[in-house]
Amino acid sequence: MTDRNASTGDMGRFARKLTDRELDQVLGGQAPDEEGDLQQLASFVRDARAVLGQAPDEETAARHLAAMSDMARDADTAVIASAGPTPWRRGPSSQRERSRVMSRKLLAIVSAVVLVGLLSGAAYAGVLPGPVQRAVADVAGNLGVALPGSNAENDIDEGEVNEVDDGQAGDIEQSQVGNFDEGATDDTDEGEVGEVDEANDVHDAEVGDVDEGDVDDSGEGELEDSDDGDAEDSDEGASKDSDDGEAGEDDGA
Amino acid sequence: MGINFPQTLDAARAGAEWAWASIYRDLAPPVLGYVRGRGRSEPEDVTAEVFLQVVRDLPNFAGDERDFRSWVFAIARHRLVDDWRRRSRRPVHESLDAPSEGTVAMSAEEDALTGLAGERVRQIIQGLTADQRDVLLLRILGDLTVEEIARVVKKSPGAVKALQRRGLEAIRRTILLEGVTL
Repeated sequence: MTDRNASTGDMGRFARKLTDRELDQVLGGQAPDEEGDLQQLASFVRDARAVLGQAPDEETAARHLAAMSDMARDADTAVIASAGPTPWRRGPSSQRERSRVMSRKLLAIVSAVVLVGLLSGAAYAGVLPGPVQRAVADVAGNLGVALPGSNAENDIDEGEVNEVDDGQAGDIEQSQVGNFDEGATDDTDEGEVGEVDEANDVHDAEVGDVDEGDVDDSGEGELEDSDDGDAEDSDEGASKDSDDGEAGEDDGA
Repeated sequence: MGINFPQTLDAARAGAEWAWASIYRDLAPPVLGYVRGRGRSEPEDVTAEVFLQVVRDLPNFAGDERDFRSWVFAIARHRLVDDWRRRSRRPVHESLDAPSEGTVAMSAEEDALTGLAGERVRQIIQGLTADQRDVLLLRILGDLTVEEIARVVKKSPGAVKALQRRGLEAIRRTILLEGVTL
């Protein structure tokens, strides 16, 4: 039902417009006078206020308030995080922070000094356990302080002996053996092997020649003589030439 | 809140829960009524959004209690507009029975609570135009003056006066016709 549905006959009853005062009174839920329609209008306003303006139930209100509190806390956190600590907050808290850090540093330094002192005293007295005593004595020895510790002397003896032994034995073995092996031995081996192969080739060829020509006619004796002689000549000649030449190349290289 | 409003507002800014509770108890009923009268199917959710935005934007507010009340209803009106636009973009999810803009929605529980008076109020308000309903609800439930309503709805005070007069005249005729038809 709207004003558009009102009949023209009914409209005549609303000919008189509401004054501003009447309008304010009606909107306040009060009837301005004894007129029935205005009383009904004021009654409607009171009903609308009562019906629509009902407070949310307790559960809903508690849920809303909890969400508001959460958001207020988040907003506070965001403001603090974005703006940093406020001046009144920065002073005392930072002083406490600094003093706490300084106390920790001081405690660490004092502890380290006491520990070193105790270790030094015990090491000087030589009452530390064996490995610890040796370790401390080593450190002190590097610093030029002689502390009692049997390992220090043992270390010196062992060092001298080892150094001498290592130096002499190692140098000799490595220089002589190494040079010999790498240069003379290897080259000689390769050269001789190569020559031997070549000699064998020659020997095979000459033996073959001898076999082809003399086996049937001369027999074993001739074969042995010819074989030995040819072979020896061939071996000596070939191996000497080859050795000299290759040795010279190696020396030159 | 009254004379304690400045202290309450300062405490709310500081995050005091009692202050937020005081503000909520004072303004939640009229805000919820305004949202109900504007025809939202879930007025409690919109009301929650309104007060969350109040919490969020309170650092930007400056003024007295009357200004604060107008400010809260302005937020409520903006939330209703946003809610209406959001629902308009998602028409598929709307129930066929969901009330549209221009209707007054109340849950079955609320209907049971309010009874016949509630149903009558709902029907009469539903007969108003959207602007008339907006102005009259802000006047009746929000207890705002013409000038304050003008700021909230972004109209001139004269336009607001005209809207509330026409709205009341329409209700007056409807009530009279009820008497005729009954």
